[in-house]
Amino acid sequence: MEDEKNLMEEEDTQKDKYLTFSLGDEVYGIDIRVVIEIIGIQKITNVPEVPDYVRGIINLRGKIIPVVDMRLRFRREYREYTDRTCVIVVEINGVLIGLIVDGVSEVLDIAEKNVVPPPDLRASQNKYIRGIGKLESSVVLLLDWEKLFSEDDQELLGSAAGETAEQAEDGSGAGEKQP
Amino acid sequence: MVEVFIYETRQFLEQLEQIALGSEENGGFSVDDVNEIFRAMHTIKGSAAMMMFDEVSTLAHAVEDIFYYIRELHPQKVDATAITDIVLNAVDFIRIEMDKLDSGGQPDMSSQELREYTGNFLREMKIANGDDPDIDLRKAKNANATKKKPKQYYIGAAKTPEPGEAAAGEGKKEDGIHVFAATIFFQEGCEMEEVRAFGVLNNLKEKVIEIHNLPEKILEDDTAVDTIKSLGFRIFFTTKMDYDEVKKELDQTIFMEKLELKELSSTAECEYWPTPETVAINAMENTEPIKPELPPVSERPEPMAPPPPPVAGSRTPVHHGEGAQMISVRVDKLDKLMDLVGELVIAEAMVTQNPDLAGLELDNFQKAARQLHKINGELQDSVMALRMVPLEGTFKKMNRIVRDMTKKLGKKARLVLVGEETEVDKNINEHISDPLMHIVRNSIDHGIEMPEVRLDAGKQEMGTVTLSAENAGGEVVIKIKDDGGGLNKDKIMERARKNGLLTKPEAEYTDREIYSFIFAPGFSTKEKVTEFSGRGVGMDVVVSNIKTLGGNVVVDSEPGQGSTTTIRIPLTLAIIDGMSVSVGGSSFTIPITSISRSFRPEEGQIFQDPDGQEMIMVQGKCCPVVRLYDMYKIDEAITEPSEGIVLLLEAGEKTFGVLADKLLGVQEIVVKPVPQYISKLMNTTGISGCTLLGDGSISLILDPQMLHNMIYS
Repeated sequence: MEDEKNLMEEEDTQKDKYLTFSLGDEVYGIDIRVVIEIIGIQKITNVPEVPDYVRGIINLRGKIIPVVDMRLRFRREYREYTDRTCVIVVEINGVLIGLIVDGVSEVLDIAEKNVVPPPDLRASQNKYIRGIGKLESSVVLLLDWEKLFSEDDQELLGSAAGETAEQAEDGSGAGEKQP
Repeated sequence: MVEVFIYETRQFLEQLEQIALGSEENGGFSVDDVNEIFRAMHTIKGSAAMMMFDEVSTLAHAVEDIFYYIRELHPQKVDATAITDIVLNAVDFIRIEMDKLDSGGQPDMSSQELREYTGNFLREMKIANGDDPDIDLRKAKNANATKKKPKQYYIGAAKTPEPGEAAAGEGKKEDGIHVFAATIFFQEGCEMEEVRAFGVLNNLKEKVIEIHNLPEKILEDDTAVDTIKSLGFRIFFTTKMDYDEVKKELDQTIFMEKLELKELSSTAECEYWPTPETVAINAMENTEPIKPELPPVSERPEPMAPPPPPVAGSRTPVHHGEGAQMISVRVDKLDKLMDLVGELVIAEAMVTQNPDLAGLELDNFQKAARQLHKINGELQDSVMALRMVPLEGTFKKMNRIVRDMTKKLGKKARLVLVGEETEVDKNINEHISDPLMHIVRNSIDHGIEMPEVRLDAGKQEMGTVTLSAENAGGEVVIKIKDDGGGLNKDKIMERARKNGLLTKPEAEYTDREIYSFIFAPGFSTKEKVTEFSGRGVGMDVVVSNIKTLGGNVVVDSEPGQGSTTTIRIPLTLAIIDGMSVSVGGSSFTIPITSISRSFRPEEGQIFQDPDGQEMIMVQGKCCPVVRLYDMYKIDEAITEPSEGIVLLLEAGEKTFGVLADKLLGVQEIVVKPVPQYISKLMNTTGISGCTLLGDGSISLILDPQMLHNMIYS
């Protein structure tokens, strides 16, 4: 009984709370529920034959977890990592993944009524956005993390050959991307 | 409770299967075999009934009846093969039900068909032996007993219902405590009265203060059934429940024909109310038979290795006859221990190879560190040894498959086991079972020819499938060899063409490459789908299962001589000695067992063939060389071979070189899987895992076998 109550409360306190982070000029939000911790950028071990946005693996206190550069994931330009660059460690369906972002801002309360669905554009980008949170003076793009990572797998599994070819072409550019 | 039931039942099933197969081979059931099967079935029946799995218990009962008959009346005409079939069918049925139970379902399949078949078989056997088919065996036995001295096969406890000698003081009725006497009659023909009676007791146990029953030994005494049938099952108990509650409780008994319930004023009125001493004595006698009794070691030189029971029942094997020295441990505890030892190894490296220590003269520290290293090593070996189990159990399971298949297909084949005592990690043992089964099936279905064909080809009528295992340098090598017709290259090639599997000109395929097509999903050269194979499902399971273990499979075949499937699996998956090398900013680790030498090549020692493949001449042998930085697109690495270092790696019989920048040193490494998110994206990289180095950085583990495949394909 007691546990159940606690759980409910916990669910409640995490509801509508989003961790916001910046990628370039945009502010994104991710459900606080899936966030495990935030760490500074650290030494990344490159792994061959993966799309360029998968930067490699890091050692998180003995656990080895993959890190994904969100800028590259959303097909933005690569930017050198700085002191402000952060890794948000999230747990999605039991899998730990690190998200490299330009910087972490704050935890925001965005009530469901302030979230509007993204415009139904043809652009494929929007499929990773669950909604757009309205704040007094700005907006937050709320990530659909579930789609982002499950879709990921599908897409990658489906076109594994294409991806590797693409990567081979990118090979020359890999040098600049080295942090 | 359920877990224990499943575990025990599975052990019995395994035992039953082995006995049944063994006795078929020997051409009949020995007295011991009969006793063991009877006992095992009896126990399964009892425990299944207790757990209310009626379909299982009634089936076990039917099979038990056959052996009861054989045991008591020693019939002359016994069709051992048919009986073996019955036992095996029953074993299969119960096993499926156990699997269901294990995965959270309910054993709900009807065993009626099997039961009826078994019942009819018994009738026919009785008629064939000139006995009255409706003879009541238990009575027959008792009748025999008066004529000659009865053979006490089982528990010789005679029925001794002592009339109650209630102590005067105890006879007083306490407040709120009622004394009842109940007699339960079961419906005629409901079968297994003794087990049902036991169920009644079990139900009441929680609700009564003290309970006694007549006959007192229900499950252990063969005559109890008759007593219950004729006199009813009588129970005497004290409880806080009142008459109505008790009645309600007892009315729930299934198959109850009649209930006589009387409330008594004191226990002294009870017809049977033993003193505490008698209860204690009875209890002691009673504890024996419900436990699984395993065959004495002396009777069977090879006591069956208990199954590697999957999931719920997972424990380390129990060896017979050494009860006191053995304990069963849950596998997850061992896994946890293993993980901890892995962490310890990393931690040790972090301390002893700490960058802060670089350049310091620390004699005493080094001494202590070496001591620590030694102890850690021993600890690791011991933990590893805990998880090692012989392959015997898994191998013996194949006997059954060979038997069933040869019977159905009309072929003749025997299975020869070699090196089944080889020990492998429990994890491997579990995962190897399915692949082995598929390969053995394939060998018999596709490999071994029909007897006539074999005779025509000048071979022995009886085909042989040899299953062998051996340790070879950190690997266990399992071979499945048959002396059948071998694989048909042309047919495989034709099918591969049809399925669109060819990726290069046909003439370029080596024999091994052609044979490896049989592991492609959906691949089958059989026109007809049989019960056993032909659907093309299966062989791809073999490969994927073995790959998860970090092993590989190769097939060799000689037309007309048979084929050999070789599986190589690393002995343990967790901790290996690795040589770390750096390439640019990255580091890679290579299992030390596969490095044959490392050296700095002289200028010009590496040469190219017209295709641009680099090679090096070492000790008169020419080996291909790959540049790791090239393969993994690493910048800032040493590109001049004479400044780097070449490691010669062995993969199977092939040798090849890899070029790295420099050696970082040898370290015990704990193999961690590459995160799934990433491993899904890689397929041909030659990377089998990753590990943490002493400074906390990550190193990728190279698999020489995979690298080799990349180079040669």
